[in-house]
Amino acid sequence: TGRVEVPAFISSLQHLITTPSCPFSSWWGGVQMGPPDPILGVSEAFKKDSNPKKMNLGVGAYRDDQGKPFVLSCVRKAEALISAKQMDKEYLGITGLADFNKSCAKLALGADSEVLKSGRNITVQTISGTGSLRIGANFLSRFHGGPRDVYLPKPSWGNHTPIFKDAGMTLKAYRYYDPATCGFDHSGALEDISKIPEQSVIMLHACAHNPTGVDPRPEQWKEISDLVKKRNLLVFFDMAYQGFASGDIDKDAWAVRYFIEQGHNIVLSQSFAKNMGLYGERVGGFTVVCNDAEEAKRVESQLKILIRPIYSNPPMNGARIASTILNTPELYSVWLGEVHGMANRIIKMREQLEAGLKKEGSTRDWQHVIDQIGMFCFTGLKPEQVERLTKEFSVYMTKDGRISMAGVTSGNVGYLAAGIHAVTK
Amino acid sequence: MSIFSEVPQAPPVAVFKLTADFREDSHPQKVNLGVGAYRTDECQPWVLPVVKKVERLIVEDSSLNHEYLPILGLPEFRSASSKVALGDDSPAIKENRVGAVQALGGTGALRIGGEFLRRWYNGTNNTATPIYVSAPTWENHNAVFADAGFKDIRPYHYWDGAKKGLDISGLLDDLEKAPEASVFVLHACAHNPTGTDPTQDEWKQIAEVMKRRNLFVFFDSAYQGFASGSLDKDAWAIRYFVSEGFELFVAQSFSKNFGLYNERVGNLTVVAKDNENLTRILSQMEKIVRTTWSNPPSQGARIVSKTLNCPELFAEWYVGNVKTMADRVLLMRDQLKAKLQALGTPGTWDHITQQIGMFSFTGLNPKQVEYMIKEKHVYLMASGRINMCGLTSKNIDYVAQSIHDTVTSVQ
Repeated sequence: TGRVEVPAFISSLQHLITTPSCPFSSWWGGVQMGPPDPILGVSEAFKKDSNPKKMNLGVGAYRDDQGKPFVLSCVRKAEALISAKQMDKEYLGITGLADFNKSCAKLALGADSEVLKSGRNITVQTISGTGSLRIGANFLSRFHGGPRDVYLPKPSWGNHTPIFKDAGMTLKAYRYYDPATCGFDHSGALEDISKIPEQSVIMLHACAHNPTGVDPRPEQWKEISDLVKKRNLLVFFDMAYQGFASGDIDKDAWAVRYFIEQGHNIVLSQSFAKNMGLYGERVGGFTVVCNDAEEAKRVESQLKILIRPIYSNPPMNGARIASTILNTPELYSVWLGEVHGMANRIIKMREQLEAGLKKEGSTRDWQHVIDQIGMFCFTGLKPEQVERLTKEFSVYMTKDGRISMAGVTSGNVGYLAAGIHAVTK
Repeated sequence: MSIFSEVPQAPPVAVFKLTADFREDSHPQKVNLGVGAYRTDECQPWVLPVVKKVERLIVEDSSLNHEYLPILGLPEFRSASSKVALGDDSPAIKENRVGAVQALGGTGALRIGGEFLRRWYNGTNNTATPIYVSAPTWENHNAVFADAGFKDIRPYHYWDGAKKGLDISGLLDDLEKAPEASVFVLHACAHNPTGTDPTQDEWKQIAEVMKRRNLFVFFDSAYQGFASGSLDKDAWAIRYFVSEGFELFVAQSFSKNFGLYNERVGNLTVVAKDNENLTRILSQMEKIVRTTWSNPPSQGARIVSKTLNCPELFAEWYVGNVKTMADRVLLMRDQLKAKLQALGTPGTWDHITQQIGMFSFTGLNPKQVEYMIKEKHVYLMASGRINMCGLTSKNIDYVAQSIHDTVTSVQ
């Protein structure tokens, strides 16, 4: 007996033919096909491409100069230490690993922070940066008495908008990126912020702005702080790249610490996905800086009520690794060196790309490639140019012209320069 | 003036407060029969030997890294987990209409499923669809579905306190009277907190009504293998419903049967009518996951996946470790009942061995529970629920005596 051929006209009636073991009509006929995630969708397309010269400049995951994922040696050492301890697997508390929470806050705020000394922060372990933002958004949605609007910089990380939307907040924007200069639109930002209604929430990227790589300078941050204070806005800092931007963890946390010193009681999301390379372990923290320890206790109790019906309590593995690194002096200094190394390689690639474009004969101004900071570079490429770069050169990036510098190596930076020049000359 | 000055202090989650109180108690004979985690006969947490073995393999494998998993999770984990629930030879799997979302524990699977149902089930964003949970049920069920946006969460009859068993007629009556399209959260086995499961005949009756009345089946499966020691037996109800043609969700947890509590390993299995529907469902699941946790944690899923997908490791897990846990619980049940009967403790105690899984609904009332805690330093939930795993050969006499004293002193 051979395979039964199904004539075409029967295939077209497939939807009328019931599945043998499920004869009833479906509940899900009205479910629309969801659009592919724009960022992660880039990786999917990249995987399918067979061009040996293909480059994945989509997702912000660090790669070494061979284009390979990089597991930090401090992580491997921490894992070995943990493995030797043979610990149990009992549930963490809802707020996670206490040692991690303490050191996570210390890393962001600084060891001698008055906030830590007075115990007026609550810091909880979260499912990396996304989980932290979502907990924060849910908390604001439930307890923030001010307007429901969250002001994002224009542009911001694509996932910010749906996170806040799903939490029941509404999204607005303030000017941030100036396409004319490929830099910070300082006057535009101040003008927009000055008009934000009091008590609204304003989102600030602590360092290495995603997607533009454009950060305000310290004196610009000071002006923003003054204005935000004047407008009585609630500051939500997103810090996903501490250490990754300049290579110096204190320098990268400067804005967060400055705002706190200036009296802003901020909320803060931290991620250890990039700076510890713990992407898939989902390590993050959410902090609320409160008036005093008593308020922090009340806020903590409500965060628990929010977290429990999402995932009960957070995963141990990544937090244990991060905590071990942060709390073991030898590992901590290895980590600082490795973060510095990752940031440095990115900085070098920026320099080589800019030099490569000059070498190709490009007459455009590519200074912003060097001026921008962190994993991402907003090239200034238009969607049509991006499309050409992808189709003709197999260089994969997001439509907004953002490239992840982490995907650039000394081996392929020349090819990238040639491609960018080809589509922009 | 703080923006948070009006934030009220929330009450603590009862089961965790119980453990906190237990920890602070200095009484030498204190016993914790609260939180649902397995304990050895030395009353210690137990990392399954197969888990230790696999973890070592993972740490020593230098080809593994910590890159992001896909949004829906580790593919080998998802497929292996769904197979565990539905059976290796499940027709639904063969027909390519089973999918899954790796989630953070059973809680995460319930929440993602709930968020999906609120958005896409019975219309779009229909927050009025009634969600039925058993009376009583795991206390977090209510919050999961409420926070997912549902406005109408109702109890269905389940525990009959008088007969100390299942109120099957009350349950069936609720099914008959529920508005069409209502969602029912069913415990696949080892009902939490009562330990009381429907018989196969009763499951058949439940299925018949649900099919006729067009009700949605959402299984919560946190104890597969743990209840009877048999994966197939513990999944009988799920597989029966699938064989009856239901589209359904199963929220699976590997916290207990793998002892991986703190790694948050769960799986939302989706059984759809066909592959086309399944594809659209999963695409929307991705959107929900992306704004909740982006992608799930890697460690626990790797451990479970390696174990389930390797025959020797699977056998070590199933025949070795799972059986060890299930057998110890069964032994404690037998012994507790025997001791209460030997003491002549008033009441009937058959329910202790008739119930199944980690928990037993003792039938102790709140006053008796308070007495147990305050006078005997035996910690249990206000509902009278005890975790059988908290019993050991060393404390079972004290616990039996404490129950006896309590029942005879306090009404």
